[in-house]
Amino acid sequence: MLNNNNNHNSSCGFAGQVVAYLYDEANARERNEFETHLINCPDCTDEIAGFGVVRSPIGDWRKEFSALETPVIEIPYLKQPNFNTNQTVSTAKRSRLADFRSLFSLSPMWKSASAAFAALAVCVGIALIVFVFSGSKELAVNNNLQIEPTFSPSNKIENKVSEKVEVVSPNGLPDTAPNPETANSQPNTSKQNTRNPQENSVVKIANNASKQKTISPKSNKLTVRNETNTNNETKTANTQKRQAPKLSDLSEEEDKKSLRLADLFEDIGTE
Amino acid sequence: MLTNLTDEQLVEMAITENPDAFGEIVTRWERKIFALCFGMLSREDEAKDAAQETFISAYRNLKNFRGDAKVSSWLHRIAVNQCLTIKRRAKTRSESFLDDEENSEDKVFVAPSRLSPARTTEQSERLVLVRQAMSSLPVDLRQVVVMKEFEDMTFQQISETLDLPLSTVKSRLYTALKQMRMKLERTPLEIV
Repeated sequence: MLNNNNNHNSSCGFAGQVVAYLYDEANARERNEFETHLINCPDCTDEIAGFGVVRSPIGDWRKEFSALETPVIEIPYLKQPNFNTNQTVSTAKRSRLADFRSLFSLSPMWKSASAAFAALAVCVGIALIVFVFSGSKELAVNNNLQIEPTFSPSNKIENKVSEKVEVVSPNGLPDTAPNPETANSQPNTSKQNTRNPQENSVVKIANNASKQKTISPKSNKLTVRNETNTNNETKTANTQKRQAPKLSDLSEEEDKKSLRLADLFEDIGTE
Repeated sequence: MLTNLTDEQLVEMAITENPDAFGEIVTRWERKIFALCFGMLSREDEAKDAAQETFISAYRNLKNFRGDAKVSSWLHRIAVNQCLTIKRRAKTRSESFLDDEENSEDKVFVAPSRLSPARTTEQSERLVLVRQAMSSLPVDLRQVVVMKEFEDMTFQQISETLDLPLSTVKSRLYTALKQMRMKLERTPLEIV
């Protein structure tokens, strides 16, 4: 049985000395003093004995703890779960690149912010490129539209073919007297007119070499515009570049026939 | 070398330039903190969790660490708080079951010994009793006992860690041992 004497108290004033003696933390002088006191103090003697009994199972418990392995402490925020205790203090001069890296390593916010900024910059760049390209395309289209009305493949034809311009009404009847040479082609023209009933007029080329005659489809009137030879040359060049249909390959017989440029003009107009 | 630096220097380094310096603090204190948690909670799994949470919490709050306190006392305070939190959680979980202490007794693993079966049984029972007695102590007293018995800290170290006078540490330990003795004496188990 354990000692049932619960009357142990520290009234003698040696309470602090009891635990110091028990845990062997008293110095030599204190130890001698307390041992002398123990001879004359049964309460302190009893306490020393009783505490020893309490400490015994604590010792067993401690042995149990000693058998346990220290758990691996993992700090998720640190890069290295297994800490390197031999790491040297960074007293050496660090490179600027290392400083820059450490700036980012200190705050993960920098990483996300810089990534977001980079993504934004890429998006803006792409949008800018698309805008510039689309703008240049529109400009090119507008330029073409401005050029194309003056561009007439007939310029090329004009140099080759010298014929009258014949305006044909939508009903297929010629406004002027048909040329006997082109009379043969009249039925063909009327056929084409019937195929395109929306056309206001159909132009047949019979043009002078030096003059370009254009017909305004809306007014149904024939307007003739004189243009300089230089313009013709440039237009011819444009025509060559665009690989306009070469009528030079046509035989003389075909040249004499009245050629329909309505389709060409229509294309130009629509463009 | 990091090992030559004090705890306070390591914390400063971890805050300012090298977060991995905190690893040295973990290496220095993990066993003692684990011992404290084991003494406070009496269960290995809970003690491991508490130790882990202690260091994670310490790392999160590194910038809040004030230089006027010691790192050891700061860590011990965090550990005791973690233990209390875990104990509260366990108590909430086991409210519908038996008494918490009785419930935990059954799950406690006692290392096998080479003693005779009768002696082993007696030792196991004593161990259970001392755990019970320890668990019944107030936290401030229990902490001192654990620091003394499990962490092998001197009175002076305990005094510095807990920021208490040396005499207070001794008197707390005295009171704790006295209360444990009284609890053990009340039990019917005969301890020879």
